[in-house]
Amino acid sequence: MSLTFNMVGGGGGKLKDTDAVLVVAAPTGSTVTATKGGTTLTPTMWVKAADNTLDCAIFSIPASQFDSTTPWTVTATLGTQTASDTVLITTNKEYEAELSYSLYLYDNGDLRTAVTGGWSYAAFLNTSNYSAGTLNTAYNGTTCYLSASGTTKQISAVTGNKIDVTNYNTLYIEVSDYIFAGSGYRHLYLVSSRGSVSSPAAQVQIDSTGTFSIDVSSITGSYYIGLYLNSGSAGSCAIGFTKMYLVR
Amino acid sequence: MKIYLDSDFRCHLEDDGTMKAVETDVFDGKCKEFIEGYRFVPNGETWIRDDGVIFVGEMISPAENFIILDKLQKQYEMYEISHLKELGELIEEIYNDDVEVINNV
Repeated sequence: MSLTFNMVGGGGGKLKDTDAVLVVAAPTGSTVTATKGGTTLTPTMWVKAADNTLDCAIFSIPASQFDSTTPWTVTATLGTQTASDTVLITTNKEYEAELSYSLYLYDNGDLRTAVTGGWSYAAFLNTSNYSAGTLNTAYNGTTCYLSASGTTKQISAVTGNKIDVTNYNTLYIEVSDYIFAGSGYRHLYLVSSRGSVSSPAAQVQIDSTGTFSIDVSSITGSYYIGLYLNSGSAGSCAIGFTKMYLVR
Repeated sequence: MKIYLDSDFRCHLEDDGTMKAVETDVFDGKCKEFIEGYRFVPNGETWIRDDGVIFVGEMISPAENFIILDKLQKQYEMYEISHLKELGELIEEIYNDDVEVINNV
């Protein structure tokens, strides 16, 4: 991750050449600290990230605190939300960390493959009765689009990896496209098996465009997360989403 | 099956006189302890969690530790399977006895 940020105000002469510089990006409005052992640092200065959605806390780490074995823990707090990460600082150069209260699983065409293992179709109904619809994971470059033209079609978009939801409280999906008639599957599920929607841990029914959410605060462990549709006898259906993310 | 929802959308199998009845097949085959560990927010209704986050139905999620609910359900299924097996053996024994009687008539 490489941060681009806009300097706000003058440098102030607070950073020494012998110091390491630790840049911690956090959601706007957060309080950020850096801690190692009994030492807690507050930012030397703040700058805005170029996209203006993040604030960057700049820490000056003196040479006396360089350590090849014990990392610094950087923590961001905003209201009841917290996020943290560790950074090993060993020499006088720039180090970066990005803290987020959200874990994105899909973000405007970004499949977040390092986290999700990609998104793909997994059949969940008898394939001799239900043939596959179409999954376009980057429709118009921004949307994960599931469509089933005609009756008795099924389609799904399911993570390749199980996702650990232990430290998160809410799963969100932002639905941009919705065409559905009838009463077939049109649900977001947390499931143990990619190819089954029986006995899900949790689910929400998608009924329109907009944002839908699932309470995962009592769920620990890892699950496949998937959107499952079937057109049934009612005809064609389609659902597209632009974002899916877990929030602490 | 019919379930009953309290004011917090917690599921119950019996109505205490204040609950809302809902018909659903989501919990078919599930034991009482599993069902009553869940929250069911019906279509068109809204639940607000203690931290202020809003959930719009139809949303179904565990309100108790899901690992425990899942273990209770698995124990229930093993119990049911063992009882079905015993029942099956009993039925076969009765059948065999009847067949013997018929054959000896």
